[in-house]
Amino acid sequence: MTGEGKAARSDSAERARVRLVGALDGVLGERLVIEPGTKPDYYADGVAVSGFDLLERCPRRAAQPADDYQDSVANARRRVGLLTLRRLDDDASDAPDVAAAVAEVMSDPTGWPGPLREWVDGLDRAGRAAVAAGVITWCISLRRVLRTDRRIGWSDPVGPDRYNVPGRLVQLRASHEAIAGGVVSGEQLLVLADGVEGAGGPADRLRAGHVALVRALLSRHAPLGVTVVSPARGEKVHLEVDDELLDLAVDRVAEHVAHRVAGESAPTVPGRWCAHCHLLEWCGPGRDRVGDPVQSSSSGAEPTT
Amino acid sequence: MSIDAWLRTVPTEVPVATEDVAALRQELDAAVAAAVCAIEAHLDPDLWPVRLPKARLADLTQCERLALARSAGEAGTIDGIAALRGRALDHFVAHQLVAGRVREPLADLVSMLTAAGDLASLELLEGLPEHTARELLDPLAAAVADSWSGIDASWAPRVESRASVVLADRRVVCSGVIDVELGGVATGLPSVLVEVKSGRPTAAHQHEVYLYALLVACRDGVAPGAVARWYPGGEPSATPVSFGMLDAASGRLVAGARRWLELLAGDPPAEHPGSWCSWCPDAAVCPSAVTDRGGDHDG
Repeated sequence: MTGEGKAARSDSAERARVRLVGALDGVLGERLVIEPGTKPDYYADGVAVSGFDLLERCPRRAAQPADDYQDSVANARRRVGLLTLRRLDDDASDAPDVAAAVAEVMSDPTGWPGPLREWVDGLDRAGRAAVAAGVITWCISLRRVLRTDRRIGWSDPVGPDRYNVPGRLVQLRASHEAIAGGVVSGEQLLVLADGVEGAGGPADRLRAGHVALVRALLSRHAPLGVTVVSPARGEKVHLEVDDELLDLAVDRVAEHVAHRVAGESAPTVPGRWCAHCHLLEWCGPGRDRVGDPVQSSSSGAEPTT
Repeated sequence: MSIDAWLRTVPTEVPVATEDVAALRQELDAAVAAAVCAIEAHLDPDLWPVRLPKARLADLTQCERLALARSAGEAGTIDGIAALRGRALDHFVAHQLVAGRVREPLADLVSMLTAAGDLASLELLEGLPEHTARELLDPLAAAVADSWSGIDASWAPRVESRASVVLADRRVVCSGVIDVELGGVATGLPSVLVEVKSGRPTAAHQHEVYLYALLVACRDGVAPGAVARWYPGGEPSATPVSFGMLDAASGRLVAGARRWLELLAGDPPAEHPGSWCSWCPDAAVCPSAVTDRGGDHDG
């Protein structure tokens, strides 16, 4: 990587930052401004934007996301999986295979993210077996599709990267599974995209753009590329990070933030997602979409709780 | 024969040339693309990509109305005790592979369902009298211990392993979750797929594992060595993978995709009553539905 390339990546990151700030100024105006002397609480008072948020196609759902998170194998396996992959690359570990590394990791929760440790600590032998089984599959599936002996810097699952937009109660959050290279030589990010029914394509490109944007804002250098990996599809797609990809993410972030601040007045875009939407009971267009003859003339009044 | 003993008999040679797998994948893609092309103008754009999980293809072969009704049904539901048996077996096999024998089937299943966040199954289980739950679960745990112990770690067993194939310029996705996958890339052992079944053996179960063989072949570019179904108390019902098996599975997938696209475009669904009516969301309003047929539905 030449000094010229590093400077170009720095310019690209700065361009994205300026564009993001301008786009948010345009959609927010005087809203979500951090008051001088106050400590910002992005989660309670502001808008936190993850890569998954950007994939939401109905503004109403984006504005009123479901609060249905629960600790589970599905929500823990990535984090324990990353700890396992880091353990396998740790010279201090003599785990011969993934299953042994999972056992090592789960027997020593030192350094785990606190909430994850508390949840796993509360499980009995059978519950921990369920977690271990999910983690083993996650790790082996990922290693299978990567098919490389090259060492990869697996991410620390303590939490996502967070970029606080200057002066705004807006925080961008993004997670990547691994990173190779450095700011000087140029970074390559690895992102897992593996919904079992996912088709890849534009959704993966948007996720890659978001991850690249957050990394660029934090390191002040745009990454060289993002590799989107789908073990279920057996796919490994490399995307070059350029201004077009970063702009895609900036535009979508601004659009999403606009929906979030619109709240109950955010428009509805009915679609296949309506059938399982947590807002369906109060959404007339959604009920029309799913063909509920009893309630289809509903006014779409909002939930009060 | 235990699973471990059977695994020792699986040939190590790759059963289908990788070039043939690639060609089959291309033919599958072209056939589904043709089906998409024929229906595209009549389909709501929101419906792309059209999703064809294994369960939907299975529903389609039973009753088209069932398939449509279940696709629109509420997520997170569970289709009764038979399905709970299937979930229990899956968890007991996972436990056996990772932590050894299940000691307290009822308590261990509650713990595993809780960890999995499977609230629908938990609710169903908690609704059973304790002695009924134990009568349901104890034999399953014993059968799992008999058949699934002693598998060498070098097989790297994975549960709920995912495989999907994206077709027709990302317009159609067929996906499956394989109960147990063993061996394969990086293990030096043949790739083997096992579907854990709790009900009576049926021809449809064979088609399911053949579909899995096709999905894994498309995913990895290499066909698995063998597929098997395992029923509690029985030996693995195994089949070596062949080009003919993959080709037949591909043909069924194309036919299923074509019909599903037609149904989504508004073609009236055919009604074929059967035991599946007992878990069909449309049973109360379907003129063809039969009731009180019992069920052999499993996971």
